Amino acid sequence: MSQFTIASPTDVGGVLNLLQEEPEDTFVYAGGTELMAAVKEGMLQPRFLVDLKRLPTLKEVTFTEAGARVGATVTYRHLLGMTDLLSRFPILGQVMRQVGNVRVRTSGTPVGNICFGEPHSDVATVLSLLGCEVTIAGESVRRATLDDFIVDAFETDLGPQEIVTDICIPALGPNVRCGYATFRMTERPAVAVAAAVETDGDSLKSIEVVVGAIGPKPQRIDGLSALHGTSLADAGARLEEAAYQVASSVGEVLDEGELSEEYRRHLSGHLFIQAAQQAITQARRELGVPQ
Amino acid sequence: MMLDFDVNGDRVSVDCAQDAMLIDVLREDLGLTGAKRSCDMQICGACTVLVDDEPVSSCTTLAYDVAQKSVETIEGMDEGGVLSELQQRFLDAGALQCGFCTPGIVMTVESLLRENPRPTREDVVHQLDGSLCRCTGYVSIIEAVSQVARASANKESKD
Repeated sequence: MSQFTIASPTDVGGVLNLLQEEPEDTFVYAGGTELMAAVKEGMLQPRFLVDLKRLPTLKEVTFTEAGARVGATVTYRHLLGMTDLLSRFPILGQVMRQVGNVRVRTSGTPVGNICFGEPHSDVATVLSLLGCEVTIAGESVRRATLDDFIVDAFETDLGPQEIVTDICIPALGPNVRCGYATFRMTERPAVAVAAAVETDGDSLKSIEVVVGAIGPKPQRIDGLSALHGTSLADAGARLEEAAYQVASSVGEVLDEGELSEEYRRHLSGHLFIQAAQQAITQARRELGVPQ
Repeated sequence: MMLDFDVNGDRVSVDCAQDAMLIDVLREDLGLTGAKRSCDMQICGACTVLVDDEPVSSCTTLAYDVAQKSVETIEGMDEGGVLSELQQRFLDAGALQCGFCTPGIVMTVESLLRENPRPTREDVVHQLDGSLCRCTGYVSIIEAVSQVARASANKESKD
């Protein structure tokens, strides 16, 4: 006797109808890499599964001048094969190619990852940096920033009768370059830092930093304005100072595992230096500022 | 439910529960015991099979999700008892000892070679990140794949 029955509707309306019947016992899925793991461990006990993989609009990736829209059921593997996406967002390729392992990347999806709300997420960290927005279908269609959508560890703003249909990634500005650094002992990151550097001529105009995997949700770090206006040639030397700022600005640190809070904060500063250095080095190379 | 899909080139029809995992349908219903249940949580790669040429963790893939697809297991790699080139290179390089992880590793590498017949060492290491072997230390595995890549290169240069 099966624990659950599975339906494969072919449009969003069909999905929403199914969710209305038994919302607390019904789970949608695409790759199922998180869902089936949780079911096998007994952490979730759905009676109904709704397979999203037959919805044509959820499989699409489209581009406009404003950015990219990635459908909910698009896998990492599919995205990693899209040169037009990776050329617009090189940092996404850098991050996605090391998510989980090759099997997770075959079946798993970035949207599934953010819907699960796993705090140890490279994808949530980088999408937060990129200013990702989430499109949600339910009684009506609404949008939320990723930062608002992820509420807490394993908790999102998604209602029981709603699904995420796609995410929108705003185009990077012409003078923006990104870097990413992560430390992981198992398959998931223990601490992850994403940095975006905007240049103006050959100086660093601004730097944005998100620290992920360390707290319940990705955290934007403020107060790095001391770096703003630094010449690119000098910026590298000033990162260590800024790293202390990053480490002490990190808010809530999850209490778990073998790594102490102190060590993980220390790592966040160290990874910030790596991530920022990647972006600065790329900028220097492309702008012809001697290394 | 009746589940129809291709296994190693043959069309099969299996009566199984909707919550059945692919690994159990393969091992129990079809007698294909090459794929191994080891960690049971997608981390080790011992259960890896190919679905439409791509590697998946059969321990955590619903059988439901392979309907109408092409599944390949280690049992499909040889042709009437003649080992594939990849399999033969594994033997020649001593790329297995107990053999428990080997079916999963061979399928994982097979998938890479279909996509890229001449992977670099770095490509192979990256593909195998997530396939655990307790015996070999991986060097012989990487060597076996490098042999296949080199043979591809030689073939190309002769054509």
